[in-house]
Amino acid sequence: MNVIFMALIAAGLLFWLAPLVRRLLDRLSGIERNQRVSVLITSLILRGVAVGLMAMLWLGLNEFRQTVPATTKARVDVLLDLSESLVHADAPDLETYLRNADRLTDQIVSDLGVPAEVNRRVFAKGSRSVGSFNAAAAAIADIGGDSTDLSAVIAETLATGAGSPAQAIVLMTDGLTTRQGARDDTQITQVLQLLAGGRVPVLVVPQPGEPGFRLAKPDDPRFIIGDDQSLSLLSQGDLEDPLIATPIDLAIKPQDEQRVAYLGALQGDKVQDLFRFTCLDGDPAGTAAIIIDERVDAVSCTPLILDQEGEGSFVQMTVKLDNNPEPVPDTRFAEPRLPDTVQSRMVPTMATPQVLWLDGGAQPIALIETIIEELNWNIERVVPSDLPRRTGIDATQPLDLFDYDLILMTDFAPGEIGDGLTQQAILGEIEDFVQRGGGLFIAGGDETFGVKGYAATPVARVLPVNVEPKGSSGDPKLLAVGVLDVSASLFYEEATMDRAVRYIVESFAPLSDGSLVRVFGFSDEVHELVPLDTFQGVEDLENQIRDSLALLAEEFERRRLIGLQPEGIDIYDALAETRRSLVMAEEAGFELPDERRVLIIADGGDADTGAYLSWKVDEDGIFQRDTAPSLAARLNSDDDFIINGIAMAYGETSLPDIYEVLNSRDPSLRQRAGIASEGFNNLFSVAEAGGGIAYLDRFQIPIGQLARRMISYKDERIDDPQFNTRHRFLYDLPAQEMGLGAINGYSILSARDEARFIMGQQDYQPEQGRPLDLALWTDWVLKREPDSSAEGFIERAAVGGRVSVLGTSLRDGGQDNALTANAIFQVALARAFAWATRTNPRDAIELSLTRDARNEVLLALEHRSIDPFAPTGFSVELYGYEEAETDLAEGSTRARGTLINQFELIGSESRWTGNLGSIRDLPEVFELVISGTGTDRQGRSRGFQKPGVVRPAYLHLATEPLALDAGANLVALQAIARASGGVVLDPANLQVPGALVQLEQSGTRDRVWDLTWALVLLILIALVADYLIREYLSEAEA
Amino acid sequence: MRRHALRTLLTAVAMTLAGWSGTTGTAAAQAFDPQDPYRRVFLDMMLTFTSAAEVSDDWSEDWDSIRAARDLQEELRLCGTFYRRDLINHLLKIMGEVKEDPEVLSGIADIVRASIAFSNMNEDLGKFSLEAVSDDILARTDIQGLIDLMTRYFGLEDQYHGNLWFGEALIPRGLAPQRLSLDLYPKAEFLVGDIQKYMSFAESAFGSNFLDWPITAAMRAGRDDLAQRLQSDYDRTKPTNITKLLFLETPTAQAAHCQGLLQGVRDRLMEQENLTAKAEAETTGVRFASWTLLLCGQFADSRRSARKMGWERMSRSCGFNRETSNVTDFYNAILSGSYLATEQRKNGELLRSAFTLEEIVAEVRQVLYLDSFTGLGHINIVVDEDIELYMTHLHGMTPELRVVQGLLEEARGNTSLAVDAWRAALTEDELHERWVITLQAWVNARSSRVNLLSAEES
Repeated sequence: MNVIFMALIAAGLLFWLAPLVRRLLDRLSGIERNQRVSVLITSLILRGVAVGLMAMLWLGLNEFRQTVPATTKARVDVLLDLSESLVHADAPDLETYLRNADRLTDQIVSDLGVPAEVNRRVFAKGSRSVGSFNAAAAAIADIGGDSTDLSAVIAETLATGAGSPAQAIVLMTDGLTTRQGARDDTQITQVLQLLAGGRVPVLVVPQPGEPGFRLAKPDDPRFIIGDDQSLSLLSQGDLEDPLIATPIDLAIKPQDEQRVAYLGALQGDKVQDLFRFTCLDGDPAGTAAIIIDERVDAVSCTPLILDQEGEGSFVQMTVKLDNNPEPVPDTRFAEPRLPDTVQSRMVPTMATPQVLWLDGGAQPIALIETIIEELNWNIERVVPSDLPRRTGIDATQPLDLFDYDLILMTDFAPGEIGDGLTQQAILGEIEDFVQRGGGLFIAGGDETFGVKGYAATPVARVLPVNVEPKGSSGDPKLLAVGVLDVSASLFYEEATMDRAVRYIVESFAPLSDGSLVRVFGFSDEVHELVPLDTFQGVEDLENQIRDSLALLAEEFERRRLIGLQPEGIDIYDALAETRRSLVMAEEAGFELPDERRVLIIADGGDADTGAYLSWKVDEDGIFQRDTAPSLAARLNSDDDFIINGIAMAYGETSLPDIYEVLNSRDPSLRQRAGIASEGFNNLFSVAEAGGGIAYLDRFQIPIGQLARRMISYKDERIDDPQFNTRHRFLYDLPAQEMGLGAINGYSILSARDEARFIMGQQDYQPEQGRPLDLALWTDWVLKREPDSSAEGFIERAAVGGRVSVLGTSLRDGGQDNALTANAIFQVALARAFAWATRTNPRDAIELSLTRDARNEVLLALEHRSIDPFAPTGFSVELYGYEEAETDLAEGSTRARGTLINQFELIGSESRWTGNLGSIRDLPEVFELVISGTGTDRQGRSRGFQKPGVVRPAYLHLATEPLALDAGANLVALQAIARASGGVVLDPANLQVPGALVQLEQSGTRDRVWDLTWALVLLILIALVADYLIREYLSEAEA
Repeated sequence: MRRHALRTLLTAVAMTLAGWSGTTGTAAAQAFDPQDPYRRVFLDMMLTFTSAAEVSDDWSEDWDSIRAARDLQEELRLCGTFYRRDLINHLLKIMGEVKEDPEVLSGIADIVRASIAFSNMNEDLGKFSLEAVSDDILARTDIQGLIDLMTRYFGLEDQYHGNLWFGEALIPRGLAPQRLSLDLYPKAEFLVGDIQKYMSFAESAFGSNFLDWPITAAMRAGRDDLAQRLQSDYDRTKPTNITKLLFLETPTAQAAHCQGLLQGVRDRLMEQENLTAKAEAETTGVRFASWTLLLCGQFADSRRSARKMGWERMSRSCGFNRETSNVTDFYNAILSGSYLATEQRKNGELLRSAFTLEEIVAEVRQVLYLDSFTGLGHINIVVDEDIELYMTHLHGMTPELRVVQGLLEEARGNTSLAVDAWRAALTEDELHERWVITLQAWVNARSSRVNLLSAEES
């Protein structure tokens, strides 16, 4: 190796120095050549360069390295939706859609502000890359427009973009994901999962789906999918009609002049007998012709009321615009002459609600029967004695709650439902029923909401109210002190005094066991009525009070004879006496409860005459002004007493509505109200300072409320400082003409957070939408605004929910002035029932029949059941159908035609599909019968059948039918944008955020120059130069 | 001169209007003010007026004086009573008559100044002011009338010291009005002065219809013979008199006499159609009902009656027919309340009795405060006569009464007597524990200014 090296080095040296060697040899040999030194030196340099370069090559020094800034490009994938909900190959404006897409693409990419590599892709069922969208029209046929597989195209795009320095997706779609011609919302979820994390931002350009892009004939009217129609638009008269279906909205290209369209509902042969509808801007109910005014682009026909007494449960809807409005066209459209201008869809009808009435009363309640009859619902009344044979393992007629939409419970106490196990089982079923969407209405009294009522049962969990029974052992013990004004002005008013005693008794009724009770009378001195002792129950309390009052009456009579009858109540001293109860309890060895309440009942006649004594002098002789309110405040803050008061109005009855008083010409009424108000003011300041509230003796005091305040007000006050005003008695009491019966201590029904009041909900406006599911009915929330008519009152106040509770019995005899006889109340109750039925029909079948591109009729079935009904199979039967020549007699049914075809649907759970075969093989009209089988929650087999008449000629081609005209699914699109960290762009006003796509441009890279060939070239040049110099010299020598 | 007349006319109109509206205004609505129960501001206004008039050349042309006069009229309208009205009207009348006479004006101002000094319990300054007024002026009929109305006002407003000192200053000079020298001054001696000095009037004062005080005064002065004699006179004119009870030794005899007394009360009530406490309070007879009931042992009713009357009077404290006996009512309620507490204790309602006693003690503090505005004008008669003569004689001494007695003695400055009373109450060892503790604290501190158990404490 070394020898070779040495040889090579020697060769190199020899080559380099060859001219010099030659010169030396010439010198030595004496040859004289005419060669200049400059040539020699040049030759040496050239050869040296050549040898040096060869050495560099040999040593591998043939690279040049350089550090330069790195530049990258973002990958932008533009995805354009070409599904049928957006475009149609035959649509006149398709070119515009595609051109727009290209224009938007260019604009967005340039607005992104980063160097980008743009990939265009169109998608629907499948997807394809395109160079430009303008040229993508041909792709429509290939990618399958009847579905939109957004999740697939997103997944594909993300996969191909992996590894690129940055990627963004521009998504032009309506967000209506479909699969096999039906909506498929699960795709959105998948897309969100794919995009979660925001690594690849998606810039969404919503496409609303203009008719010009996607309809071959955009001028024709077409259906718009409307929202489910709730009952909120019902007017009173609508309650006569039993069935409600999805409303039909129509989109119409604005017409130059007034035109007429025909809406058809084909079910059997008669249009007008089947349905009635009212279209905005159109005719009133009862005709199929719709007047379309100039420049109207949408007509809403709602509600559409279908009569199930017809021949089937499905109605095929058709619509057609009459292009020749003169003369006045046919009044019906049962026989369209131009089938291909007609679109159709199937609408489901709602089953007649089934009502289960659990009634604890001996006789049915007439009002309920009337309402149900007017609603034309089916009702089954079950009384407690029926239960043994309807429930339990040995039931002969088992009661399945899920056969019903609404359960009414009236005066149906838990005690009526058998022993503990059966009771818990049934109540648990009711809870389950409500949890799964069933409606519940409970009206009852003490037994329902009281001690042995529904508190602590499963039912209580679904009620919109807090059921706090009196005397339940869980309640805290209280020290309750009742202060009864026994001054002459009240004591000698027998009716007033009686009412006052009842107020005390009923307010104290909910006291828990072990509570301490004291009631004393007060005028200017104390009269112990019920000495401080543990609570022995309401009856005992009332007896003690009444006995003591009888004794007091004798004493007062004696005093009256010497002119010393009791005078006005001295509230200050009464409060001081109240405080002494604590000493008394201590003295008697009672354990002092932490919760302490005072209820002062006084009249306004001469309240606080002893106010002259509301000052004291302390032991140092210092004068101190003191007032009853400040003493009350100390009682509240130092001793934890909460002071409530009731200001009595003397007279036979409590005061009527304040407006009635103001408008009354009866001076004695006004006088009563005035005197009582004065006392009320006095009492109110004391009660408010004492942390409580005062009520005026007006109508029937919401004693349940008061009673509840007596037991649990303190915490509530802490939770909600506004509690006082909300329950201020003056504002929320029912008018007396409502005839509300006396309310007992049971109605301790406060609304839960979610609950609203059905009636008297303040400030409710219909545009706030459907009221909440839970609603509270108590008999004190009825309210009449002074400025609203009876109808207006209903309109504004009739707010209901799925679960309603009425805190009073409906068994009030129905006399003229009774609650149940009140028209307003009746309508409100009917509405409560209506709302209490399920929002979705039970076992609803939404059926869509579509004609696909091969002209085969496809059937898709959406089974919606809120019951725990599990379908195991659906079968379809097709029968021949003939128009009846004469009207059928009442009650008779048409005989079914011959069986044409029969097959099973394919699918599972809620979605089932089938193929009826080519439209050419189907008769012009046939009857479709769908039978479903499945099991209910008890595992019992259940089934149902729904028929409908179909005219396949009216079926339009398979498209994305259910998504048409719904517009872009903005909610989904926004979710996609949000999840991916992108934005939703407005196509009309593109505002692309600049910093959306970030490219890392701050990095550097090495640039390497390969110098091998350059060196070789230089060697050659050097050699050639050397050669040329020699040749030159040779010539010169020559 | 014409301008002068016009101003006089205006003044007259203003005063007339003020006086006129006084009869129809809101006097009854004026609430009782415990911080100025006698509405002393009235006297200060008088002085403002008379002082301003004194320094002006012609007060009917001096706006300060006129304004002060108008304020006085306004005060009369707000809180007019018959004796204030008489007094002010008389004052304005003589002020108008003597407006040209500075000496008389100055004399009037001095008399008013003396009155204010007396009502502020400043004996020396008041007497000094009176000495500055010459005999000539004092002897004028109109000035005599002024003094008469002023002392009547003092008498009705319980300002016994004022009358005492007016009497002491004027009687030696022979310049006291007749009512002062024969009625108001002796009464003041009896109530707040020297009982011995009163004795000289005992047989002549008040006339024969009002013999209670001479009799009890004689008893207090140790002149039982005189008392006996007066009582027998009294019995002759009015068989159902109260002081007779003091001479009846046996409970049976007392009870029998009480029957008569109470029947008298009832008879008076039965005359009234409307048997309300209000109607009762409007009859002077009923004023004594609480006292009668107390003497006759009907403590609960007595307390009720007394308290009711106290409220009634306070509620119309500025009425035209106002009477300022609410201090007496308080004392009566306290005395009957103390026996009520005793009764309750003996009935086994130990706690209720303690509460009642707490109320009474609070009331004692209140009444001492009110009474301090009259220089404790009532306390002597309550302690020395009501308790000493009547209560102990008729109902005996009880621990509860000793508590009250101690508080009153303490207020009179007899601390050792007070402590003795409380200690005596403790030794009887029957009171509720709450009061045993309190009294021990009082005895230890030698003062009731220790409050362990206020009515509100628990």
